[in-house]
Amino acid sequence: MKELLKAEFGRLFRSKMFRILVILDVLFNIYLIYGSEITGTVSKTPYVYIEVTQLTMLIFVEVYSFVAGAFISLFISREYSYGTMRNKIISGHSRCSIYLTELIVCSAAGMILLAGCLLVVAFTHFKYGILDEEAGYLIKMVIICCILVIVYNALIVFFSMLIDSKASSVVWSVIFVICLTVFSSMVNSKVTNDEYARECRSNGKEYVHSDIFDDTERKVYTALDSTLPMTQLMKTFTMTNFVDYGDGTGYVEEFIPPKGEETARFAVIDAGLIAAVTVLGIVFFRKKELK
Amino acid sequence: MIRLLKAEFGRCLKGKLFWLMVIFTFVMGVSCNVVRYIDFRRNSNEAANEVVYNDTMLYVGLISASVLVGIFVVFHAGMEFDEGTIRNKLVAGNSRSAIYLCNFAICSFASIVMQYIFFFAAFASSYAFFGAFHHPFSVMMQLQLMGSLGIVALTAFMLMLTMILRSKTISIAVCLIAAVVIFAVGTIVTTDITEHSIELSDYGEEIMSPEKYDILDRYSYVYGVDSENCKGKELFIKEQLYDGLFQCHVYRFSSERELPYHWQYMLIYDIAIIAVTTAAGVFLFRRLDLK
Repeated sequence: MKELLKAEFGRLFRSKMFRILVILDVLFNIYLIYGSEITGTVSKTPYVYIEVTQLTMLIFVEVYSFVAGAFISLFISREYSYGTMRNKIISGHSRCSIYLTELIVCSAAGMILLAGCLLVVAFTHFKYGILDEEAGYLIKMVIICCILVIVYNALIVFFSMLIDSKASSVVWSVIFVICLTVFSSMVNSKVTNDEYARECRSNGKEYVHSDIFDDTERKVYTALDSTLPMTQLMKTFTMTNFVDYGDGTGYVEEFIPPKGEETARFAVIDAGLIAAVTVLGIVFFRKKELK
Repeated sequence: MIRLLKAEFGRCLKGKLFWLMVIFTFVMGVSCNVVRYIDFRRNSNEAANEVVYNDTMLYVGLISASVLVGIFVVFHAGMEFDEGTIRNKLVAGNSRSAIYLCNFAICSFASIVMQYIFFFAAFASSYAFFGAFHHPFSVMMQLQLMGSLGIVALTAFMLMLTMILRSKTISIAVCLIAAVVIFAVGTIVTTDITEHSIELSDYGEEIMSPEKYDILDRYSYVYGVDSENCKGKELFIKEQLYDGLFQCHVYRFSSERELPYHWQYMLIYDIAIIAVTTAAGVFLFRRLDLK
């Protein structure tokens, strides 16, 4: 496996497409920070640095999911079209180690892109400064981002390893990410509506009765809301909220820090998801007939 | 060229791809309404006689068109490079311009067929389930005709990418990423413009802070007012994107009850996109080195 890893990392670093992606990644993140500065997206709370970081990382992971769909499929399916997959098996490597090697290399590529994003974000603290408590929030966000990048990689590697055709593999991966994003938004909006309606009901305000789930529905939707990568992202990276304290000042913008228990819960769920998808992928890949 | 067109039409109609896409769009048109109907039945306990205007469902096909058109164009036109039929056509004495224009005609035809199949499937099922539309049928048909021009512009753009990139795999990755980018930019521009104009008209200068008002004033599109009467270059650029991007057109089709403001500009932009991308595509394809 060590040799395989060496060879695959060599292929990754020699890949022109990967180099172009790293450059685009840095430029895109600089543009994001510049854009949030000029359009006034950054709020007036004291946590300016963490808000800029949150916004940049949120968009990074969203965009990464689509880019990874195309990049990983192209990177892996090349092995089928060049016949290197068969060569690896003939030279005595197990299918399990081939699968794991691809997952590790693609995850490393994702981490390098994430590091590019963090590098750009790190420079902004010269402008905004960083508060002591912000360091803790930053660590939580980085942990969730790393895990989500690996989750997306695991899902896309699963498709790419099982589909021989390069073009079909790209189509299925990108369409899968699009469907996952749409589905996650629908689930998240349903859960948010349910929570809002329940809150209104308990406060005696007006609410839409049909927005409230029954017990089974609520369990299913809450489970989905905690499991889907995109909803985890939306929950972790909700930056500010407008709160009315009823003291006559009206709605005040308030910073929402990422919660520690939630980060840990998401990390455990994601670890389970990665393990399940990888085990399934290895089982199918071992049964796959290689022409 | 007529013989080439005949042969291409034959290939398109005999191929599985076209019919699979047609079936998919038909199923999508019906299933969108079935899902909406189930949701409606579940939520309409209190007001069983409530009238539902279902216009938005008629334009879901146009919203997802960029992905479907991208897939069809790449698998139809990109296949010629992989199978080597492009070289055969050249050897048989056809000019490169004729080959390009034939592909453009066939892909446009197929995309428009898919568009109308979705529209009629969605219209019929929507009429059966809900029976009410805001748009009169004549306005719907006018909007669909404008949508057809937009679809042809999208086809011209995707075909240009496919014919220049040569490889089917790279083309599908680039076209799908382009489709996602078009969707994201269209959504962001539409949201920005409508959100800011609502904020401006609802709150005004007296309530919000001067900095916030200044930002909104610079970036907002006021419905029915040309950009010369507002401040800022950014607004001008956003307004052009709002009038020029296919995705923004579709959002406006579904949200307004008559022909949208600046509809003539939309047509001009679509025609300009078709002319420029086709001319650029033919020019670059003629210089392409076909191995």
